[in-house]
Amino acid sequence: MLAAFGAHSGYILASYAAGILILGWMILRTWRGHRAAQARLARLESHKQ
Amino acid sequence: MERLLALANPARFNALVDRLFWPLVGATVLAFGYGLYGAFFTAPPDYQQGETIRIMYIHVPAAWLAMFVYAGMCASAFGTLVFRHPMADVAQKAAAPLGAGFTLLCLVTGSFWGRPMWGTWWEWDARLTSVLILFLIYLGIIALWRAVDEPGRAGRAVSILTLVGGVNLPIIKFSVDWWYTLHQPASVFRMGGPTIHPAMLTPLFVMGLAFLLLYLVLLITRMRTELMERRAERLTILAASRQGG
Amino acid sequence: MRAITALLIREITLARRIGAGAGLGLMFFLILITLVPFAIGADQRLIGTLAPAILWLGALLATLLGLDRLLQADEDEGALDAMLMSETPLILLLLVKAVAHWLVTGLPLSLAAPLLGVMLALDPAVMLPLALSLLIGTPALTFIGLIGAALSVSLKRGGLLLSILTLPSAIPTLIFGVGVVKAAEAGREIATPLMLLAGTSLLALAIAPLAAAAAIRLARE
Repeated sequence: MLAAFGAHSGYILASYAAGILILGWMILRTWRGHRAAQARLARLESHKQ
Repeated sequence: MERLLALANPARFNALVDRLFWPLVGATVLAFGYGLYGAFFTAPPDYQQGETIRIMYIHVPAAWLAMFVYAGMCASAFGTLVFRHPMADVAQKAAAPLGAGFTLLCLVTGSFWGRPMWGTWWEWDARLTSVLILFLIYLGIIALWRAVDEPGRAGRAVSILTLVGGVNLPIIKFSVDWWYTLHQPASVFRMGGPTIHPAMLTPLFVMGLAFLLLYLVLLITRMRTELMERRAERLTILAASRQGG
Repeated sequence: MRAITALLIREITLARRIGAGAGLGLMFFLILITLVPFAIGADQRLIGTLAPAILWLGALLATLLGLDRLLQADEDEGALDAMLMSETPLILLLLVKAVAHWLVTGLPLSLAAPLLGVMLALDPAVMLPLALSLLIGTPALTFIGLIGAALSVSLKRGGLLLSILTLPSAIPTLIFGVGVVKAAEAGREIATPLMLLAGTSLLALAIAPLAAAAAIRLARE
């Protein structure tokens, strides 16, 4: 299938790989940050009680 | 306007986020699916560039978002400084790393596109330089967020920096125009209407929408996170003062 | 008016006493100019070609050096609070501080540049355009730096942050400044790029005191 994209297929692949990496990292960081904050808040609120 | 003021209440905001989150995620997935399908299968190869034009479907939406997010941050900066809207600085803080990410993606994919097309990974032409500087300004904004401890003060400082940086951007674009331009001139948002083939335009806009939806999903999540972190900070301080007192 | 003159004189005297002024900046400038040929190698022609760029970069970095002291010393002494409460508008006070900074930093640099250019095999024909470009452009650097200084005052690692905040905004000034010299080298008239440079400095002069005053005020709330 790569061959179907011609001589510059490597660059196309690299671009979309960069997209997956960078957008994926943004998604991951966001998700992890959310989970961590949730956990921390839950801990603090249970201590309050 | 009243709606915006209503959102100043974090509880209301959280409720809104709860309602919107999964529909937005669904819409994002659909848009990416449809857009990528269009980018690879429906859209024709370019007359001059061949298959490499496919990079456009990720490079251009990234560029659009890089600038859109900054414009959003400028609007929020107004919200913080002029209207003192409590959620405005939360929005700014959440947006900055996302905008930086889109800008980085734009630069990287642009480099991968430039190499086969122009024979070079990088050039100091008007567009590339302006985007690189936009990236540096984003980094400066993120650095300032981290440097100031107190959230209110940080928000105000960053708002000033964001607005000054905003003034800077047209100047940079404008000043570097006297250099030779390797980058393609505007072909979508221009006076005479788009010059791109309609079969390419649709996947491009769908991908643009997909990026926008992804940004919104990540933005509201990060805003939620920020609100939780601030509440956690307050609880920590309360607990400490109770123990000490 | 008299109050402003008095303030100006005081600022200049202080700056020179602290040594953040002419002495330190020029010394840094000189050291940088000395280092660069070692980094480039013994290629006289290459050094001469790069000379305007080296001098402009040197001026930029030397200006940056003195900037965090611009407001930090006042903040440490509590003089910043006094400025906030004085009758004279804060914007005006900051304007005067910046002008004093330029008189003690940018101005000597601009005058010294052609001389240092000799060390860098600078083409004599462009010495005057270079000096003019620095003279007109370094105020922009000082004023842009004022904004960064106000934003980063009393922060940890403020100096480093100041550089990160200031440098992207200083790029147009750098572009226009070197543009003047390039025009002179190409035999074109330099009035237009000089006007652009002047415009940048004026814009910076107009915006910076406002933004800096806002930054200082809001940091105190």
